[in-house]
Amino acid sequence: MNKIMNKIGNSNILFSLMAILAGLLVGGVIMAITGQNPVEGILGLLKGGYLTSYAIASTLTRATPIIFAGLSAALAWGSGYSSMGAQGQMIIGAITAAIVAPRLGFLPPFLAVIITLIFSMTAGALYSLISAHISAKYDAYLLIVTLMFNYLADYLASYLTNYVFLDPVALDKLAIQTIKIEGSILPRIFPRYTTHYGFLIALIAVAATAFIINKTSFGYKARMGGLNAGFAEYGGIDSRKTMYKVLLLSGALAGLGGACEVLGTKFRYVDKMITSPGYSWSGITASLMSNYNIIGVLFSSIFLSGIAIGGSTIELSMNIPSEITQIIQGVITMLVTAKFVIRWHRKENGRKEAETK
Amino acid sequence: MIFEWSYISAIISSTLRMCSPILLCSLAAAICSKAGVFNIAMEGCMMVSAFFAIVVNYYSGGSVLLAILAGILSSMLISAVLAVLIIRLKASPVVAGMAINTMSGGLTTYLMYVFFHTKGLFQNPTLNGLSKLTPFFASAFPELAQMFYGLTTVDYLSWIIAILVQIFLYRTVIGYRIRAIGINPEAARSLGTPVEKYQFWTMTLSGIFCGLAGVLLSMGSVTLFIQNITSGKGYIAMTANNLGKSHPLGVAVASLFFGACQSLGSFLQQAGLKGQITGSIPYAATVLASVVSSIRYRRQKEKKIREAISEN
Repeated sequence: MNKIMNKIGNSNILFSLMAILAGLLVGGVIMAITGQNPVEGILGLLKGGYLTSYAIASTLTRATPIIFAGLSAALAWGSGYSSMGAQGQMIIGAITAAIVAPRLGFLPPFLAVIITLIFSMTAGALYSLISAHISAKYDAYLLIVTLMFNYLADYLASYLTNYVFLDPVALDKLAIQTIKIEGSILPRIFPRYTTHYGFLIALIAVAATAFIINKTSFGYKARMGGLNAGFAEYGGIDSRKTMYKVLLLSGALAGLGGACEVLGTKFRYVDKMITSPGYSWSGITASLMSNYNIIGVLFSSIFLSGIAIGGSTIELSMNIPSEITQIIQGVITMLVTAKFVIRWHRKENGRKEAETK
Repeated sequence: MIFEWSYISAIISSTLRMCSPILLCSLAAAICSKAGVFNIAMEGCMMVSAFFAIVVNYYSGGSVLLAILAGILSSMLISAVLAVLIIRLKASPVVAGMAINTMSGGLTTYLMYVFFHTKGLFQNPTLNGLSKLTPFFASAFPELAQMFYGLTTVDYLSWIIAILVQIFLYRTVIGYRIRAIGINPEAARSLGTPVEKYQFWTMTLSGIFCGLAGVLLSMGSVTLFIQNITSGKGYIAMTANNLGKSHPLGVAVASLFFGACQSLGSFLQQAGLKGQITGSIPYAATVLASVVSSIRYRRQKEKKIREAISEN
C-alpha cells in the first residue's frame, strides 16, 4: 500500500486525475442526496462539456479567460506571492478594451485590436503594480489587498459603465453595458463555432510565459523565490524587485484575458461579466492542479471550463443547478492542496523506516 | 440635518449593527492567529451559517433558537473540516481557505435552488428574525436608547464574547497555552502541550463565532438569504484582526471603524451619492487603514530607536 502511495505522491498528473475523480464523486453524491440521478448528472456534465463538436467549441471559448487567469496565478503563486488579484486586473483590462476599441474605428481592424490589447495589458499590469506596491511598502497582506482591489475594480467598472460609457441605444434599457464594438474585434476561427482568435492568443501567451519562466534568468529568480524565499534572498536576488516584476507580468496577462473576453465574446463590457462566471478562481484552481506548471495550466483550464459548460447544459436539460460545478471545483482544489499530505506521509514513513533500520 | 440628534443616533445604531458580524469574525481570526493558524475561511463559514439558519428557520416554522443552532453547527462543521485539512493534512491554509470560501458560494446557491427553487433571493413571511432588545433605560432616557435601536440579542452577545475572549486568552491556562503555541509551537510541544489538538479546537471555536456572525447577517436587521450575502465581510474582518494586532480590544476598535465605514456608505447612498461609490467605501477604507496603521507602526518603532540612541 505504501508503495502505491509513494508512486502517486511522485506523479502530479495522476494525482490531479485522482482529485478530479474524487471531485466528480462528491458532485454525484450531492446530486443523489438532493434527489437527482447522479450517474445521469455526471455523464450529462461530461457530455455537455466535451463530447460534441459544439461542446468542445464552447469549452475552448470559455477556457480562454481561464487560461489567462491561470497563467497569471501560476506566475504569481509559483513565485510565492499569493495574489488573488487576477479578477480585478481582468475587469480593468476588459473595461479598458471596451473604452478604447470603439474609438479606434478609423484604423484597420488588425491594428486596432493590437493597440487595444496593449492598452488592456498595460492597464492590468499597472493595477497589479499598485496592489503590489501597497503590499510591499506597507506590510499589508497581498492576499487581502488584491481581494479589496477586486471589489474596487468591480465598482469602478460598474460606475464607468453606468454613468460614463453607457450604451445610449441599447434595446434592453435595463442592461448595464457599454456600446458595441464594431470592426475591431477578435473574429471567430471557424464561423460555425464560438471559439475566437483570443484562444490562439492564449496559446501564444502560454508559450511565452513558459519561455520566460523556464529559460530566462528572471524566470529562474522568480521560481527560486517561490521555492525558498530566504535562500533566494541569500543568493543575492532582490526580492522586492522580483515581486514587482512578477506581479506586473501577472497583471498584464490577466488584463489581456479581460480584453480577449470583451473583443472575442461580448464585444462590449457588460456589468459583472468577469465577476459572475468566476474566471479568476477557476484560473487559480487550474494553476494549483498543474502545480504551477505553465503547460499544465492550459490543460487544467480547458478541463475546468468543460465542467462549467457541462454544468450549464445539465442545468437546462436536467434542472440541476450549475453551481454543482463550483462544488466539484472546490473539492478538487482542496484535494490538490492536500497532496502535500501524501508526500508528508511518505517522508514520515521514510523516517520511520530509517529509524527501524 | 446632519447635526440633529435623531440623525446622529441613527448613524450610531447602524454602525453598531454593521459592526457586530465583523467583530465576531475578527475575533475568530484573532484566536486562530493567536494559536498560530492562518484562517481565511470566515467568509465561507459565515455564508454557510447564514444559509442553514434560514433553512432551519423555514422548515421549523420560524424557530429562532433552532435556526441559531443550525447556523452555528454548520459553521463549526466547515471550520472543523478546514482544521483537519490545514492541521492534520498540512494543506496550504490560503488555498484550502479560499476553496472553502468559493465552495460555500456554490453550495448555498445550489441548495437554495434545491430547497426553495430560486437562485437570487429567498424571503418568506413565516421566517422569524432575531428578537430585538430594547435597552432597560429606554423609558428613562429615550434619546440615549435611540443609539441602540434595532440591536438584536446576538449583537449584544458579540460584545460579551469579545470580553470573554479577552479573559479566555489572557486569564486562563488554556488561553495561555494557545498563545504559547502561536509564539513557538515547538517549544509548546516540548512542554507536553498537544499542539494539534489545541489548534483544532481553536479553529472549531472560531467556527462558532463565524456561525453567530452568519446568523446576524441573515436574521439580524432583515430576515432573508441573498446570494453572496457576506460580500467580503470575512476579508474585512481579517484586516480588522491585523489592525487590532489580534488583541480582542484592538480588534473591537478596528471592527467599530469598519462598521462605521459601512454605515457611512449606506447613509451617503441615501443622501444621493452613487451606489458604486458608496459601496466601495468599506473596501477602500480597508486598504487605507492598513496603510495608515503601517505608517504609524513604523513611526513608533523609529521613535523608540531614536529614544534608545539618545539615552545612550
